[in-house]
Amino acid sequence: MKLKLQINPVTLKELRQLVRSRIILWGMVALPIVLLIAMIVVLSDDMHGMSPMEVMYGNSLGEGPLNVTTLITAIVTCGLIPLFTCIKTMIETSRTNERLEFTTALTSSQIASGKIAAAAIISAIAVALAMPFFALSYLMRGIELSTTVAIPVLLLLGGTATTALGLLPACSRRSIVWKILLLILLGVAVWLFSAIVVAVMNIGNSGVHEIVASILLSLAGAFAAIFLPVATTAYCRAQAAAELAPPHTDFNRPLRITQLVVFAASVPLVFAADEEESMLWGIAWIAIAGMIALCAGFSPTPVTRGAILHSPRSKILRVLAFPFATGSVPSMVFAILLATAAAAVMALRTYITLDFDYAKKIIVFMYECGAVAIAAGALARMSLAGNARIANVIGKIGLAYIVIVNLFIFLAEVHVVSEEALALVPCYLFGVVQMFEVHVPIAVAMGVGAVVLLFCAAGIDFTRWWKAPTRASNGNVNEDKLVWRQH
Amino acid sequence: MKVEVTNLVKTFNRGFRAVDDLSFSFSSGEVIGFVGPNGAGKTTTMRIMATLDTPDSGDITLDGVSVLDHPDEAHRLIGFMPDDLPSRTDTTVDEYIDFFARAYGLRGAAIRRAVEGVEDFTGLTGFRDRTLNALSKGMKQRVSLARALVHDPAVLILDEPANGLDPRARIELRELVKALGENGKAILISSHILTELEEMCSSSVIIERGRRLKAEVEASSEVWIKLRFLPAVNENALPILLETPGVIAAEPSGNGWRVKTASGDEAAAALLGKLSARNLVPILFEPELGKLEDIFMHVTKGNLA
Repeated sequence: MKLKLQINPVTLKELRQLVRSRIILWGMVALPIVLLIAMIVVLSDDMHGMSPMEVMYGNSLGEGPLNVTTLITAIVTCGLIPLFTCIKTMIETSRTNERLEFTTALTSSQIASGKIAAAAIISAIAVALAMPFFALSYLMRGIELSTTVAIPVLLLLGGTATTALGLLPACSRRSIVWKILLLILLGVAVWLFSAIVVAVMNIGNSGVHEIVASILLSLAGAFAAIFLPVATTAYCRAQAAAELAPPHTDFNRPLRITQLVVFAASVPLVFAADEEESMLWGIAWIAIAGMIALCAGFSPTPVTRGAILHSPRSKILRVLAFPFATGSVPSMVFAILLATAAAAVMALRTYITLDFDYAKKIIVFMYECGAVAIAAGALARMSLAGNARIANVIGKIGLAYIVIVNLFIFLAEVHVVSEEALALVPCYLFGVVQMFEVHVPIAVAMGVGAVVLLFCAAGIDFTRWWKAPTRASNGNVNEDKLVWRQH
Repeated sequence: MKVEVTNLVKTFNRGFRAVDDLSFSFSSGEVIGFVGPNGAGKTTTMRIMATLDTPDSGDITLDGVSVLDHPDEAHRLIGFMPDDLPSRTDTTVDEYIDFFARAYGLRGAAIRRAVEGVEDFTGLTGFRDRTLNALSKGMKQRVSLARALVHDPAVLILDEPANGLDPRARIELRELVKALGENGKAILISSHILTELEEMCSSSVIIERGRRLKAEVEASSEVWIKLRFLPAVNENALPILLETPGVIAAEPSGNGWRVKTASGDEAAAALLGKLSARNLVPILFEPELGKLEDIFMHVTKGNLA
């Protein structure tokens, strides 16, 4: 059987454009020159005062060239190429003519993948140009061959992950504030995961070759080092594809599945890391859940007709598939389930080892933020669905409740830490309070309130989800039955 | 292929209804003019049809299949030419069309066949290696049309294709659209140049503030033709004109005449032959246009957005 390999048209187009770009072209020409100059400077400094015999047979001089080659190549692969790709994508998504690829047979996943793949290929060329300098570093002694091989691979993976991360705000049609928020929250999650990776590999203040050597030495280290860029790429690619997809389609389902897979794959990190660092894992997932809840809460769209069309035939499966459907309420339900799952894993980890007050406070705080976002989103959804009066009344009650409860916390804090109360006001405004004991029931109450509101809002969407005729239910959707209104 | 737009509604921020319960339909072989003042909702409707936008409610179906529910199938059936023209410094005409051929799922030799076919049809063969930004506006329009045609769609949506073109380019575009209509494509075309639309469209849909106005311009079975003869003959031409077979009515118009006859090129040629046979050789012989303009001005009067 003849195997037909079909290159992604977007990759081909992006590559054609990238190789024609003067920035990329001159960057590729400049890279070896800059590396050569940097190598000469580093080596002349390291060799200063050495005799020719010492240079030839004595000291290990490889570390300096390796560090500088890694740094310069990283600037190109993890900085310039992702930046160029993202700016180009941002310009493209703002022009009607450039959006025409969305009217073709290409899926949004193919478009996102194509852009990431093109950037990865250009990064690979940059890494290939730097390979003689990595080889030279190895020949200068003091560096293991495996390290010399592993660094370019990690640079390539890191560059691809950075491109995927940067592509996310570039692909998004949200406002600039939302784009920045999205990037910050995901950036925080990646940073937290990086901290776990550093902890797992025990590479606090090590040099490049020591870091890579430790990755190669331990299975957990290798897993952590590969997991981070691969998971970031997969997650950001799925999120970028969801951002690019037409609004009425079922674009969230692949994203939710990816999130779940990344979540499951990251669980071993909790158990590989120390107690304190493992808390970062929990915080990272609570941050991601909070981001999902925030995005869903402040864009109160109904369950899309694409989602309804693709809902499963079986009623049980339909209930289970609801959190994976596209729409603000299912997204909020998914966020709650994800946070609960993260909390469960953390509880298991904490049960095995120790209890950390600090982490609990942060997790409770993130729960509160998520609860407020979910409550606001649920109210907005109810309002848009035609229950404006009920939403208005509940909203006012909720607002009064939050004000009263927080006033109560503030007064309690003043009572406990009277002399520090004024200094604590800025912290308090962001929900960071000293009285954890008071905070827990409040957080629980807010969570319950948010869930009740979400339940009310979900009633609207879930009924449509439950009753809707689907393509899956009858093999071929009956268009006459699919009466659809936005609200 | 029947295209049906049903109760389409699209609201933008602050409750502005760009499209308000709009319904119309057209079929293969029809060229439909989509007319309306600026801000009437033409581009929004066309973008929704091309799946670049989503309506608040309503639907668009192609032979009964919803464009919104089955966008992948719709993409293969619809060719969209936006009013925004392609302009890149890093892409040639050939690469641009080649990308879209691949993006529409063409494979292997079919890609080159399709690309060269549309380049030939739109007269781009001599320009295939030029970058997009080095093309004139007329050539960019051709590239845009070639891009919309590369996957041989059954439905064509052309948004202001003649905008900013010189007279020659307009005439060439008109001929291309006519040829496509005769090839059995269902074509929706918007333009502000109503006389041109009238020449190439079988009927028109007029919208204003997102709503369809109750005036549909069907291609008439009769047409008025302007005539003028040499001064010696001109003054006494009326009785001969009225006696000529094929002339339904005749009346003075300026320093010449206007006669009503059956529409179509064949009828016009027959009339010209009969007039020549009666030694009545015209120095001016042209069909009267402007019906669509009149209707447009009448129905949209005072309601411009």
